[in-house]
Amino acid sequence: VSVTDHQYVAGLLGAWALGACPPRDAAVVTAHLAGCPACRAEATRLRRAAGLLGTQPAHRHGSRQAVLRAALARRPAAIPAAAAPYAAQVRRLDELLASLPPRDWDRAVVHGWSVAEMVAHLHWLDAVLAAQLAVAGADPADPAGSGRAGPGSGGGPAPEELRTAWRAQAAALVDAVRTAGGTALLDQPVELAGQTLPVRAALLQRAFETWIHGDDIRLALTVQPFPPAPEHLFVLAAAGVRLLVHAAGVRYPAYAGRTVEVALSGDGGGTWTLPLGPAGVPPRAPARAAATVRLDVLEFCYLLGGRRDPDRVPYRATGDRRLVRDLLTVAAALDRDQEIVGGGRGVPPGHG
Amino acid sequence: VQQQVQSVQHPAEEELRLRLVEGDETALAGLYDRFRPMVYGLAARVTGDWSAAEDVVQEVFAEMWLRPEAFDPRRGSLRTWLGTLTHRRSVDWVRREEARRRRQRVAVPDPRGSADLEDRAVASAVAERVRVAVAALPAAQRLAIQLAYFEGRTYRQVAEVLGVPEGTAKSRLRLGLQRLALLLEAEGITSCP
Repeated sequence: VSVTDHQYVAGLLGAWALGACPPRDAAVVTAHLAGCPACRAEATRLRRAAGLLGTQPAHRHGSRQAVLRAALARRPAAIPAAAAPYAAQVRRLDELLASLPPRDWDRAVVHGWSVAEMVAHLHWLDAVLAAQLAVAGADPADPAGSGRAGPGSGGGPAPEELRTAWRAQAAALVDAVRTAGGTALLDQPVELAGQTLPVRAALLQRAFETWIHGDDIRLALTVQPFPPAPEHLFVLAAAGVRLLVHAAGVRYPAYAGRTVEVALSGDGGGTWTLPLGPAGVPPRAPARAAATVRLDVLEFCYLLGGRRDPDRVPYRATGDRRLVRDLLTVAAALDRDQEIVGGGRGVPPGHG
Repeated sequence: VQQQVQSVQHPAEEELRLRLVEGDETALAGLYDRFRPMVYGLAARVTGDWSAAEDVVQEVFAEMWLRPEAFDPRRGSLRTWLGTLTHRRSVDWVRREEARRRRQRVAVPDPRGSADLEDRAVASAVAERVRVAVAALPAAQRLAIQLAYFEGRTYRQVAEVLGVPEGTAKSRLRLGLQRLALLLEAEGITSCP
């Protein structure tokens, strides 16, 4: 037993007795105690004292939930959590659009779409959802600017009109979710862009598309991209991961039931370990993930939004590398196949 | 547009403030997740009492939710603002606590208050003596032990919350426990009943 070891371990004995050592330190202490009677004696004594703390009531009233509930009891939320990512992206895009001079509305942004066409497109898809939630005035068959704001038509509605109509409908959509309250509405299935999905997922889809198009415009104007707040990015990424494992299992039936770990780094990231394939497919044994893919959470979202090339997005794979490659290819194609963001297809009536 | 965006110093914080003003509950949750360690650590250092620190955490986040307009991102960061609120609330607590102690020295024969009387009625004599012994520890050692034992933090996290070097956190835990053992052994208490 070296002197350094002894001093190091002796210094750790209080933390060790309280169970406050990280695993590696705890292992060092345990190993040292076997051969050091002096440390063993002190460790026993301190453990006994620490054990006596168990007689004290641990009045932990400051849990996360308690703090949030106490605040919300004094001022109820006006924007429900399920609609918050969408509402935040709408406000951001609205601010961005408000700052654009009218001539910029004709600027080509992405896939040959102008800003005006993009806003009309967002308005139309929002209307598809809003109409199913019985939002007054929402009519996907006749969205604002339909048939008038088409490419090159010139005589479309004024930018201010487009923006106001889009924003008012978005506010009405958020309000419909708020007044419904509870989860019944959020679980209700709706049709959106060829998919049947619950309202809560549809709201995230709208948030995602609104964000990506906002960044499309920022990119065209050479303004810094503006990632969603971490708490919103997290729920968007989580929904994206679920969508992806589902689609990958459907696209490659041979992978169905195999488990993959998706580790997204950065603010708003997280790690998800899920079986590939439609929800409810039992994971195949062994439960250990067949592959792990690590990438930046923003890069992952841009990939899902069809804004990254799967061959160029930086990632690290362990385990079944081929599965990871196929997964990323499916991710990049999701936008085209399922109209997550839209780019060239799914244009509103009169824009085709 | 570029100039406008760049002129806002903390666009993310300005947005968080707007979301709080609008009543977006996910903004409150996001604020809590990001700043709770800072608010708790500062409150614990100023009050020297983990339970008071929890109360301060609750007050600070409630205040931010009730009056988000009071935060002005042009005048400083959100972290600084929350730090100011936390410090103010913590000092309030320390003053109340000092006033309470003064009143008790003058008038109240029982130093523990009525809530404690109920606890004491059910708690064993051992638990009561442990409580007294813990209360007798120097505040810095008591807080470190409370964070490690009751909050389940590692000594590294204790160091982080208290804003002290890891070595200091380790020695506070060790010295505190040694003193606790000494106090309890002197009373003949060496094991739980």
